[in-house]
Amino acid sequence: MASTTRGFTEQFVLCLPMLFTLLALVVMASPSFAGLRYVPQIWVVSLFFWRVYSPAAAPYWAIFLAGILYDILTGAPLGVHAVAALASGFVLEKFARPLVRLSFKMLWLGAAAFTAVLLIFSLIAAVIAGGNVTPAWLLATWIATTASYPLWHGLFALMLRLLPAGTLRG
Amino acid sequence: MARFRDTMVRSQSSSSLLVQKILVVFLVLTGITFLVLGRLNHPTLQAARLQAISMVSPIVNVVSAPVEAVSSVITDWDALMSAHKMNAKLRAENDSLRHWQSVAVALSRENANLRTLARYKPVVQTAYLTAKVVGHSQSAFGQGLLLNVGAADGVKPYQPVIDAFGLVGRAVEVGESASRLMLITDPASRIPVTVGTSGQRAIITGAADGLLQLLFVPPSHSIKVGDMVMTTEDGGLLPSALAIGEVTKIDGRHVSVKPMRAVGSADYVRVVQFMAPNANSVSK
Repeated sequence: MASTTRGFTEQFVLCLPMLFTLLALVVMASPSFAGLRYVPQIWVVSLFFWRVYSPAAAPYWAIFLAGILYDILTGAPLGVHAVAALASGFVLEKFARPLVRLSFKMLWLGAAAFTAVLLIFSLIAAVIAGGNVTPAWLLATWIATTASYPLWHGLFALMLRLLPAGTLRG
Repeated sequence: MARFRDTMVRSQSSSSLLVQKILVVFLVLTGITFLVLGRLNHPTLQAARLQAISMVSPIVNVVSAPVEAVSSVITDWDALMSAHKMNAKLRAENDSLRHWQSVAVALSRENANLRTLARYKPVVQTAYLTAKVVGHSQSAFGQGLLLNVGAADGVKPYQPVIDAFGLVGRAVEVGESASRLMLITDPASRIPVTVGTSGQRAIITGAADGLLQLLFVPPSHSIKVGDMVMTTEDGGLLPSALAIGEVTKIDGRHVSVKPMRAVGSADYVRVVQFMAPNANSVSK
C-alpha cells in the first residue's frame, strides 16, 4: 500500500514539469501578453532542460501534446510544432548525456542550438504545410528564447530537486 | 546467475529503447499525417481543429484570469499615476468633440432627409455581437485573437471584427463556441480599402514591422500622408467605412499605413454580422 502511494506521488511529481510547460503555453496565450511582439518560447526551453536532465519528465508523447497545443493556440498548421519538437528532441537525445556534465555556458549554447534546430524544423514543416512564416519573427524569437534561458534554467533546477533520483540522467 | 541478471537488464533496457523509438516514429508519422491532411484542407481535420479551439478557449480563459488580474492592477496603477495629465488632455479633446458632435448630428439629419427624398433603400443590414478576447497569438505563422463566441452564437467565417477604433480583423476559424480571428496586421490578411477623399481603391495587408501596407496601388496615385484608410464593400465581404488606419509614409507605390491603435489590444471586440447585397441570409 505504502509503495503504491509512493509510486503515485512519484508519478505525480514526474508529471509536474510537463504540466508546467503546458500551463506556460496557455498563459503565454493570455491577452495580457498581446502587447509583446517577441515572447520567449518557454515551452522550448522546458523541453530542452527536461530532455537533458530527466527524459522521464518529458516523454515523447507529452512533447507531441505540447506541440499540438502550441499549433492550436497560435493558429499554425496542425502538426508543425509537434513534428518539429519531436524531431528536435530526438536529435537532442544524441547529445544529452555529455551535455549534463558540461559547464553552464556550454549548456546555454546547447539550448541556443536546440532552439535554432526546433525553429528550423518548424520552418521546414510550415513550408510543407503551406503556412505563412515570417523569418524575422523566427530570428527575434530565437534571440528572446536564448537570452531568457538562464532565468528558466534556475527555475527548472529548483523543480529538478523534487524529482525522484532514479529518473535523473547522469 | 549474475551474468543472467545482466543479460536480462540489458535486454529489458534495449526493448524499452525500441519501444521509445517506435513511439517516436508513430508520433512523427501522426504529425506528418496532420500536416498533409491540413494541406489538403481535409474536412475531418478542419472539424477536429475547430473542436479543439472550442475546447481550449475556456481553459485559456480560466488559466489567464490570474495573469489578467495582475496585469489590470498594474494598468490601473499606471492610469492612476497619469490621471491628472490624462484629465486635462481629455477635457481638451472633449471640447473639440462637442463641436464635431453638433456637425455630425446636423449631417446625419441632412443625410436622412436626402435619403427620404431620393427614396434610398439601404443595401446592407448589419448586426453586432460582442465577444471577449480570451487569447492572442503572435507567431511566425500569423497574428490572431481567440474569441469566446462561435458558430452557436451566429459567427460565420470571414465576418469582420471591430473594436472602438475600427477594424481589427476577420474570423477565419469558427468553432462551435469559440473562434479565431486573423488580425489586419497579419501578413496573410488581405482587405479591400479606399484611401482618403480621392477614394483610391487598394488592398491592405500586414507588414513585418507592425504597420500595414497598401498593395495594388497604381503608379499615378493621389494618396497623401495623413489620408484615412477605410474598408470598402468591394467584393461584398465587408461593410464600407470601417476605419483601418492613416497613411504615414509614401515611397512611390510603397504606401505604409499606421493602424488606428495597437491592433488586438482590446479586451472586448464586436463581430460585425454583415449581410452583403444579394446575400441570402444574415444571422441575428
